[in-house]
Amino acid sequence: MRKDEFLQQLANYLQALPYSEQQSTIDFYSEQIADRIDDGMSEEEAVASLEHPRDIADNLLSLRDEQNLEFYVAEENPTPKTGSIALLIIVLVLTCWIWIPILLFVFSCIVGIYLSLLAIILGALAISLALVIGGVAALVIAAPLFMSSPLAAISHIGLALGLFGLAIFAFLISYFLAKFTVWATKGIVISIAHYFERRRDKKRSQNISYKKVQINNWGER
Amino acid sequence: MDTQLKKGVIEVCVLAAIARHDSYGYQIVKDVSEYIETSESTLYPILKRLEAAGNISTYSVEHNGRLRKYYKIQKSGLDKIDEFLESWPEVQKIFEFIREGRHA
Repeated sequence: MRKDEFLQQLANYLQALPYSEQQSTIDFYSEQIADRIDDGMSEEEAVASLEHPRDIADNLLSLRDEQNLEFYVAEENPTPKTGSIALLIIVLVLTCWIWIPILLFVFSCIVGIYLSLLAIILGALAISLALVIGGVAALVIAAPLFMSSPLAAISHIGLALGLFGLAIFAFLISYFLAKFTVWATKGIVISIAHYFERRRDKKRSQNISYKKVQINNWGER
Repeated sequence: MDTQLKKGVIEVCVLAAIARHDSYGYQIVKDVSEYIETSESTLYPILKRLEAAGNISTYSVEHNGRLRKYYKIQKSGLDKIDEFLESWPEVQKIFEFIREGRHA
């Protein structure tokens, strides 16, 4: 996790505290990370060596309870339900003539892209192989020619070298395209996962409201 | 060490670390951790509490283009350390009592 992300999460979890206290907590942890980086850690290591923002916030909030101060209770509000699941299914079935073609279209687009990438990768590989075979053939032809006409033999060797060069080139195209495909797929999957994670976190924090409560020494309200 | 015991001692350790020389968060964690395992999350509320009680004061020093918060011991902080040190004979008596009970 990066520093900004850590502090942002911490700020979110600390929303129950008064603003000045949120600020001083964030300043404190920001300084800890900066000092660790000065000490030779990488940003990621520095953040990883601290507790998770949620645990830090939980700990602070529970300490406030112990100290018998005015504090806030997080209350999870029930998710506002727009309708029952049965209704959702009915709507989905009724509108399937819209979304099924769209889904199929998107799906076939993705499959199409991957198939064409695969075709290019395999094609370049096949070309590379063919060029290698061609080069070897040129060498085989060149060998007996050395006695009769050395000039023809040399030109055949030249041809073979050219073919090998092209073979390497085709192979590199295939290799880097394959690498790119894997890299891009990974990137896309991870960013989609992140998007949903963030949305879930956001939804959850929207569902939490804070109520000011005063308790006495015995933990009674 | 037992967590209950640790809780009481750690605050005095923090005071002692600051009493040696003015110090900042990360340095205090490092100094205290040599004796008791401490994390920032343990330290932060303790520092807050000590500051609110006037046992320590704070000031900021510029460091690498940012502000670093330093903690300075106050008279009442030193008193608190003394109080702990003076309670030692009593603690030792309790320790003896416990040990004799164990080996009776």
